[in-house]
Amino acid sequence: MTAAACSSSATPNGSSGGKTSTVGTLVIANAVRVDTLDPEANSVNESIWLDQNLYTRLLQPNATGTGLLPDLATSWNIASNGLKYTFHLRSAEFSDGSPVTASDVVYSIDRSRKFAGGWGFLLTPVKTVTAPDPHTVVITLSVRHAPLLADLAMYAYSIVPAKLVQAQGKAFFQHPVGSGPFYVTSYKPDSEVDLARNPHFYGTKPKIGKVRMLIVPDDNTRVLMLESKKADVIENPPGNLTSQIDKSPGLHVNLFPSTRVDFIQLDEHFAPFKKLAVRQALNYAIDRNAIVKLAYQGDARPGASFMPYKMQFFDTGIKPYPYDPKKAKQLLAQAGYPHGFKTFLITVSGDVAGQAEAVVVKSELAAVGITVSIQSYELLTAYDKEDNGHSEMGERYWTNDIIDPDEVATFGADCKGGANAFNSYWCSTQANTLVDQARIELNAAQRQQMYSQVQQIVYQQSPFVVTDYSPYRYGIGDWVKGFHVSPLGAYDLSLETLTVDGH
Amino acid sequence: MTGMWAASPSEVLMRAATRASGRQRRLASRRFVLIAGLAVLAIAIAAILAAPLLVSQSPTTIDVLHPLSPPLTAGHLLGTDQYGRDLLARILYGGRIDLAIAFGATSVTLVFGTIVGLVAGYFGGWVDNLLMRIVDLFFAFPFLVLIIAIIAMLGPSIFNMFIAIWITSWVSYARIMRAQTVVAKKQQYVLAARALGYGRLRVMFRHILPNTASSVIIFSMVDAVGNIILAASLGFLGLGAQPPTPEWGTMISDGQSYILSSWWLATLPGVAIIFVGVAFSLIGDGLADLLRVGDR
Amino acid sequence: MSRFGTLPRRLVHLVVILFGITLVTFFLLRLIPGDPALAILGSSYSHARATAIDQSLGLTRPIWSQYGLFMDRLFHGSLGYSFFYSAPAATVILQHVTPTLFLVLYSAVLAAVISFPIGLASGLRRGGIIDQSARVFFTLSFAMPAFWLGIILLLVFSVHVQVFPISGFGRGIIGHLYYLFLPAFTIALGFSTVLIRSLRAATIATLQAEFIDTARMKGIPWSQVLWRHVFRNAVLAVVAVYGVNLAYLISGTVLVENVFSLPGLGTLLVNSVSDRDYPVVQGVTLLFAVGIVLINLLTDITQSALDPRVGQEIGA
Repeated sequence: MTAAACSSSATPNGSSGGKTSTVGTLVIANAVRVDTLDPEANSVNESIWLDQNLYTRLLQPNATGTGLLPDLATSWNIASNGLKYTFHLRSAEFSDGSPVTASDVVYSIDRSRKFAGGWGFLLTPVKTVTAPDPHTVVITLSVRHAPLLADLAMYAYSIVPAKLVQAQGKAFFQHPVGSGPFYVTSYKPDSEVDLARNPHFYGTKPKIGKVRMLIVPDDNTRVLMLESKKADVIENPPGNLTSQIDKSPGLHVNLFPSTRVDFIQLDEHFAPFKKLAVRQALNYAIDRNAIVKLAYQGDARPGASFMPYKMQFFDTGIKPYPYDPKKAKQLLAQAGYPHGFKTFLITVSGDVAGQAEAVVVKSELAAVGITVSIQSYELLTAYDKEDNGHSEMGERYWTNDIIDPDEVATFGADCKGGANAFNSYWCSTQANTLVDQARIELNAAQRQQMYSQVQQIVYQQSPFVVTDYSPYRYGIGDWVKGFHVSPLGAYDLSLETLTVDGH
Repeated sequence: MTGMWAASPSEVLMRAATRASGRQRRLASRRFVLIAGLAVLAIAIAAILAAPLLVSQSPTTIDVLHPLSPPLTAGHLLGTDQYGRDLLARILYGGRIDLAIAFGATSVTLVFGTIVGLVAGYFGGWVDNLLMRIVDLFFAFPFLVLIIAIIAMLGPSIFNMFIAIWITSWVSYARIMRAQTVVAKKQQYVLAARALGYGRLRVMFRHILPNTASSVIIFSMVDAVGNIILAASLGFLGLGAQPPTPEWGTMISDGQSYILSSWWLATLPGVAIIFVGVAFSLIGDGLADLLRVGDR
Repeated sequence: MSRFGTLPRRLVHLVVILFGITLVTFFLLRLIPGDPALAILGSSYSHARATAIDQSLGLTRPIWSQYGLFMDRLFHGSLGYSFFYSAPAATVILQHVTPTLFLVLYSAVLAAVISFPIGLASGLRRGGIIDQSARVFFTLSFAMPAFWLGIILLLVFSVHVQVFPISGFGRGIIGHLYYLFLPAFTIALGFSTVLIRSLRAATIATLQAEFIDTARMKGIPWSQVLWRHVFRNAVLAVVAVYGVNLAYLISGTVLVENVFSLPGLGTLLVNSVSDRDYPVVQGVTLLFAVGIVLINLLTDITQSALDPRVGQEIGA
């Protein structure tokens, strides 16, 4: 099987038909500081998105997050038994002019695979990664692995220059050299990261020459910066200000579909949650539309399947549970809780949307007899409780790191997948088997069937309550044409083609 | 006192005389400050305790239909927050927590710190050394780290705020009291008491303490203001009272997100803090003026 | 205030305190629930990954062993490696020092500039216009939480009236002075209240001292009396207050840094505690402690230098 090289990114490229001249710099204000530019060690979204501008990988996700595009590899062959992949590399150079060779690819992939607690687990079936010649990379597997290409398209498997990293160690990443469309000219992880167009990039030369990524954690300040045109794009304007921004002349808010799934985790160590009827009752008792309205100002979608809705193999046939408090009460009575019970919900302090959602959930569950006390903890303390079995209900969310459903299925549906099915400790051997099978099934139609079944099982069994899918919100000046965020949160593809008019 | 450019002896005497009569006037004005402070505080306490009588709404009832109403809306004197909860009600009920901090946190640290300082100052020697080294340790430790760590460990809640403040704020009192005690124990009245055979504890608590207490009491007024602000700061950082409990600092923090569209959410609780803080400051100033040996 | 007399003893006692602080911080941090693996893994958490991370960070070793390693590194001049930034903790901390240092010094100077004239004037003309209005103003501002005041100032002067920039640190000294004016002013106001009160009290006390009358009777010009005696004694009395509050200020910049989005040490500290980035928290705490201790030492030295009598008194 081969995949032809074709490039069809879905970014709309508006013409710079304004009366003002184009400007060469894009200023983005981000909400969270960057941690590191080392692809094996990134854990913060904002740095992950930066990685994608600085480095190339063998493949890359397309702009809609539903497929893969060639990146460094122009084409690839998959052996008929599915255990050997051969990638053909294009001629490309790093930002310092040195050529990107297959040995850089091998080095980068192996390095990231070996990183303790990193993303190596995605590539467990990989046996060897070799470079028979400078333009070919061969990967052999011990078992078939359908997500392989999607895994390799992940930021963690970005290609770094082997010689430089070996020579400089971690210090390399203070001023990294990559083969992506941009390179770093100034790196201050807590205040500003500056990028400049990489003259050695193999692809379309970006129209903008520079990118300034400012770190502005304060929500209001970011909005003010947009309004005063000091920033061209701002990440995540607070919900209560989006209509204000939209009304301001020259500004607008874009909602980009994301892979984020908000859910309420249920720990089955708490007896009532062991009962299917109780879990279903919770689903009927919670009005997802109210959550969407109060927590997300109407910008989110009610959640149905546990998989992100902008992803291959998402089952569009699954609809959100309807709001039916009467039915919820019936189910509770059936389960032996006619008078409800007491429980607590862990929220994260400072999470505005989450706090709003908690308020809604509390009042709606009270209406069916379940008394929820809201416990608000600092982020990691909350996670510590939830990940270690000391919670009952907890507000959590999921975002994809790869475009393939294997990751979310393993974490959310497979109790042997390492995350105890999103900390629910719920187990379905049928779901586990399906997830394992889908991982080694290379035929797309078959995989679709398997994942649909998994989604149905999870929907009916409801080990956790899927509440909504929330989008990425960005405040954008009208003078920026072509800014687009993929469901994985990355906007590197759009940076290659967007324009910034004078303002 | 107007400036004088050259002083003759008679002028100096005149000035001394004026000072004496002026003192009467100033005593009255000092009392005024103290009384003003007490009055303001009394009003605040009364309003806060009488909250259920003053506002009909509950501070936690949500009204989805009227979120973010500005002040002077019908039925909501100070407006509503993002859930439609009445702001005046939340400020009045929230005041209970902040006042509790002002009194509860301060009084414990006052008592504990004073005792430590008294003991250290009186006994001297290794007791003094040990206690004061511990005090120095606490002083040198960035207090915010300590508080954040304590609350991260115990979980954010009002009671844990108290604990965090108790643990970090007693040291100032210890230092002040120790300095006062060290000076006091050399005074005549103490030497006399010891000579008369009074036990050490009795000398400390019955003789030294009453004479030196004024300084720590005055400081405690300042500290009370500081504690209210500290509680508000912790609420601001998300480490204090948890939703839906109203507390001024948390309200300011929550309101920050809305500062550009609904300024009253973050501003008005701050005004409440100022109101109570000013009361304590005035009381402190008044006491200081009254009790201090300012004018000989 | 308790102070020994001699400098070497003071230094030894400083070292003991710093050692105590590293010990307390170290253990306190590990008592907080959660660990760096949670921060790193987020929603893709699995026990296997977490354990692998903990092992690679050395967090699965017994706690005394970890402490020993930390102290060993410290003696060799290293603060360890930041879990979050994948860079040496010292580098990370240095990147954040400038904004905070600048802010602290700027606030200290502003506070002095505001308080000295007002405090002295209040004391000289007690009950006069300056005194009364200063008391009212500063009583009010003292009760204002710094973060609240910061928000208001930002709203008025950066949003509505647009005199000052909204956030950031600026470039170059002049840039810094401009960008940091509002935050420094916010801090300086609170600081000034205490200073003015002390200055005022000290001025009043000094004016009533007998030697003032004596000097006057001798015919010394008032301006000289003012400068040589009143001013000098007032400042002397205030040095202690200034020092204590300055030390307190160091860890207190966090909230203001938050409101004005300044990437300083306070922000770093709070973020690092949230992310359980132990080496950085330890490093910043130590740095703060050193700063506090040094300022206290400097304060005492200044006091003794200005007036040896005072040195003896407070050494009691």
